[in-house]
Amino acid sequence: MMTCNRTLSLLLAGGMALSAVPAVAKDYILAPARPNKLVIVDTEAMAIDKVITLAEDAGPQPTVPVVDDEGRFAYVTINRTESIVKVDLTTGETVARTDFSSAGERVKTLFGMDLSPDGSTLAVYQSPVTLGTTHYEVQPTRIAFVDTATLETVKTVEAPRQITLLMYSADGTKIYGMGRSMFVFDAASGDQIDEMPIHGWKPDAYMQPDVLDVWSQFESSNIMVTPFYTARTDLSLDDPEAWRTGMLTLDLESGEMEMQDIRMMDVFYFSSAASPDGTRVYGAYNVLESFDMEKVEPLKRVALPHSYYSVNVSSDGNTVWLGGALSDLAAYDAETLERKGQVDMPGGAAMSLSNIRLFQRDE
Amino acid sequence: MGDLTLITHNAHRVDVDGHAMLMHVPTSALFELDPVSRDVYELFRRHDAVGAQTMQEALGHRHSPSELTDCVKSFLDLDIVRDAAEPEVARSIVPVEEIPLSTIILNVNTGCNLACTYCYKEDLAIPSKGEKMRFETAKASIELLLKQASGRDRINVVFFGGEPLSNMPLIREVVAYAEPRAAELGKVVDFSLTTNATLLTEEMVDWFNAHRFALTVSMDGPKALHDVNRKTVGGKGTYDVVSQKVRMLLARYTARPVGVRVTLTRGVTDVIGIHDHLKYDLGFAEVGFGPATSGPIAVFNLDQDALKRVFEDMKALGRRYVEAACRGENIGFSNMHQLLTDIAQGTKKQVPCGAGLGMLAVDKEGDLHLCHRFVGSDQPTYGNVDRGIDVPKLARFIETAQDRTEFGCKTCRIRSICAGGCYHESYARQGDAFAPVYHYCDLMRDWVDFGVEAYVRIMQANPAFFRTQLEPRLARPGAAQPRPAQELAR
Amino acid sequence: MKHLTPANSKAKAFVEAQAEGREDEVVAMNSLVGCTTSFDPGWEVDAFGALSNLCQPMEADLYGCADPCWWPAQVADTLNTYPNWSDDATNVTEDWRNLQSVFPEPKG
Repeated sequence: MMTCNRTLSLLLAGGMALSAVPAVAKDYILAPARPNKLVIVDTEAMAIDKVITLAEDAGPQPTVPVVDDEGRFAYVTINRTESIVKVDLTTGETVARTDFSSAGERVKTLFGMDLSPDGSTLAVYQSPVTLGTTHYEVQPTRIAFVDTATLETVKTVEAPRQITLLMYSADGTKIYGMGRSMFVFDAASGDQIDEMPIHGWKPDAYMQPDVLDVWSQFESSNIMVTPFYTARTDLSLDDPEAWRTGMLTLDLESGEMEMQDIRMMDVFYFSSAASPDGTRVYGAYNVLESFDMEKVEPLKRVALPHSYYSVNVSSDGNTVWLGGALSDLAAYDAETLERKGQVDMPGGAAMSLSNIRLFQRDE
Repeated sequence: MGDLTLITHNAHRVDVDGHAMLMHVPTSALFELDPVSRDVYELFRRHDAVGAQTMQEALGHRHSPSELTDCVKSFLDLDIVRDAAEPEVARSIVPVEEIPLSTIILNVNTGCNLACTYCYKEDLAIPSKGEKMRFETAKASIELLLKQASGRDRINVVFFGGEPLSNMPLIREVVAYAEPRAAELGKVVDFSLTTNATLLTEEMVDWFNAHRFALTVSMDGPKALHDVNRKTVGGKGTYDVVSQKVRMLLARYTARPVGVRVTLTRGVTDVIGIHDHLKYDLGFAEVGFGPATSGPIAVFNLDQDALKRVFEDMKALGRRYVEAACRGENIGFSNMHQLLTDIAQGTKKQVPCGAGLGMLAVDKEGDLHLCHRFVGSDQPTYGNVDRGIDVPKLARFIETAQDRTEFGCKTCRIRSICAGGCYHESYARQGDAFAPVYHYCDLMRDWVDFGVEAYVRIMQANPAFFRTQLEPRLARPGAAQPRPAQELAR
Repeated sequence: MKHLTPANSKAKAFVEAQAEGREDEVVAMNSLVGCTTSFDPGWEVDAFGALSNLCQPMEADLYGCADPCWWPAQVADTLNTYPNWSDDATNVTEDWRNLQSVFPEPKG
C-alpha cells in the first residue's frame, strides 16, 4: 500500500513539475541505524521512505551523516568513524569512499564533520594514533579538507585537541570547532583566526562549565546550541540553586556566540536544538524541555518514555523530533510538547550516538 | 596463631636514597616499605620467631595494634612470614605438555672465516670444511616452527653459524619461502642474524634492510682490544676490516637499530672504553657485554678477580646509564636495558631461558638442539625437523630444569630472575647443564641489587624512561628476547 | 597491603589479584583491556547523588557508551577492541541478552 502511494506521489510530483508549479520543499530525516543502515523518513507521512544498506564494514553503526542542499548526496562516517562514504540518497548507492587509517596509523573522526555551504568540501576533525607493537603514540589532531567530488583529502591542518563539533559559517568563510574553547578557523587556509572562551567563561561568577556535545543538529536553524553545566561561585555548593544549566548558542550567520545561565540544574539534557527563528531551544534526554531564548528562561518540561540523545526542530518550527539511543524517532508538538507519533527503525535497530539529520528535498 | 618466623629467602630489602625497597622473591614484585612495615620487617630479622607479646613490647609504643596486624597480614599473604611450625612448601614443577615455539635457529654453516680464540663452538670449521645446511632442511624447520607456533602471531627465524653470511644463498631462499608462508597463516615472521661483519656488502645490507632483519655484530672494541682475540684463520687481527664494514652498515641500515656484542676475556675488560668506542666512535645503537668464563681454552677465561673487576666496571657504566636516564637520555647499554626490564616488569622465571621451550636450534642434519650453543656438541638432541619434536624427552629436561633444589637455588634471593643461569655455560664449565653458574652467583646477586637501585632512581627522576626507551625495545624481536645475539662468546 | 606500596608492574598485579583472592595466578603479562576497567560512573553522578538521572532504560545507553569507547562505562568498546560485540543485538531492547562478556586476546 505504501509503495503504491509512494509511486503515485512521485508521478504526481513529476506531473506538477511539468506544469511549472513551484516545487515544495519537504522535510526528511536521515537516521543512521545499527549495524549499517541509513533510514530516510518522510516526516509528513511519518513513515519510512527508504532504507539504504551501506558496506558490510560500515558498522557497528554509521555515525555522522551530512546531507547536501539538494538532498541528493549524504556523506557519512562509517567503519568505526575511520572512513567516509558518499551515498546517493535516491538510488541508495555508495558512489565514493575514503579510508583514513593505514597499517601503521589509526585515524578516528568521531564526531566533527561539516559540509561547506557550496557543497565542494567536507571539513573533518581527525584524531590519529600511530600503532607500535607495545605502545601507541598519539599524534596531533587536525582538520582534513576533503573534496566532495572524489573524497580525496586536499589538505590537513593541525587543530587543537578535544574538538567535538565542526561547523561552517553560513557564508562558508569560517569553520567553528567546539572544544575547550570555540576555535575559529579560516575555511580557506585552515589557520586558526580566533578563540572564544568556553571553559574560560566568566571565571569570577561561575565554575568551569562542563560541555559534552557530539550532535550536529543545527541545519534547520543555522544556530548551534548546546547545554552546559556549571555552578555559581557566590553560593554554597550545598545550595541546590548554586548548580546551573546554561545554553551556549553560536549563530552561524553572524558568528555571534553567547553563553547564558538559563535555570537551576536538576536534570541533564544530552543535546539541544534551536527553532528556525531562533526564539526557542529544545533540550532532550530523559525529559524534553522547551526554553524561551528571548526571555532566557525555561518554558515547559515533559517526561519521556526513555532516553533520547538527539533533538531536531522541523523547518516550519512546529515539530520537535527526538532520536538516538534506542530505535524510534518521536515527534512532539513544539508548543505543547505533546507526543504526536513515532517512526520505528526497521527491526528495532538502535541508533546509539548517531547524528540524526534533517534535510529537505523538492517534491 | 603461634609464633611467626621470617622466610628469609622470600624477601630481600634494598635501601635506595632513603627508600626501603622489598623484593618479593617468589614473584619478583617490588614494594616500598613504610615506617610500619620497615619496623616489622626488621623485628622479624632480629628474632627467629616473633609472637604477639614480642611485637607488642618492641613496637607497641610506635604503632597501633591495627597497623601492626595489617602489616603482619600482608607479610603472611606474601609468604614472607609463616607460622614457625609450618613446613616449607615444596616448589611446584610445572608439567610440560607442549612446546609452544616462537623461535627457530638455523645453523646455516659450521664454517667461519674467523678463528676467534675464545669461540665455544665445538663444531666450528675453517671455511673450506664448513658444512652447510640444505634448503630442504631449512624449509622443514620453518614448517615445524609454524606448526608449533599455531597460537602466536609473530615468529622468529634466526640465522647462526659459523658465520651465517658464508651461506647467504640459503638465507635468501629461506626468507623467500618463509615470508609468504607465514603471511598465509596470518603471522608475521621476523629474521635475525649475528655476524662478524667481515663479509658484509652494500647489496647484502640493502637486502637485509628490505626484510627488516635484526642485526647484531660481534666486535670487541677498539683495535688494540678487538685484535687480541678476533683473528682470521691466518691469525691476523680483523679490526680494520670490521670497523670499515660496520661504518658502511650503520650508514645504510635504517630498518632497525643495530647492536653489538662484546666478549670480555682476559686482557679485554675495559668496559667503559669499549662501550664509548662502539657507541660513540662507531655509532652502534646499543652495546652488550658477555664475560667469557667457560670457554674451551682456560687461559682466555676471566678468573674470579678479573670477573669481579668486570662487574665493577659494568656498574660504573651502569651508573652513567642511570644518570643519563634521569635526564631522559639513553646511552645504549644492553645489559642494563635487560636488567631494568626484568625489574620493572617483575620477571619471574621457572627456567633460566627459552631454550627447549620457546626456542630450538636446528643443525645441518635437521636434528633439534636446546639452543644454538649445543649444536655440534655431544649433548642429546630432541627430535628432528622431519619427524617432529621428541616432546617427552624435552619435557623431562625442562621439568628437571625447574628444580635446582639440590644445587642451593631454592633459597637464593634472585632465583626468580636467574633460575640457574645458562645451561651451556654450566655444561661447558661443570659438565652438567643443571649445575648453576656458581662462579657468577655472588656477582649476579649484587648485579640484581644494583638493578633495583637503578630502577628506583630512574623511577623517581624520570619514570617515562621505561615507556619511551625500554618498552619499545621489547617490541623489536632480537633485541631483548633471549637469542644468540646476547650470547657470550661468539 | 596498606604498608607496602607496589613499585613495579608485578607488585601492582599482585596487589590487584590479592583483592580478588587469586594472587596465586599472578603472571608476568600486563594486558590491555580497553576502556572498561573503571567503575567510575563519571559526571553522570550529579551533585544530588540521584542515579535517576542515568539512562532509561539501561539498554538505551549501552551502545552510546560502547560506540565511542566512553571511558567510565562497563561495556566492551566497539570503537577499537570489540567491533563485533553488538552483532547479535541490533535491537538492543529485545536482544540485549546476546551481549556477552569480553576477554582480552592473548598475544605472543
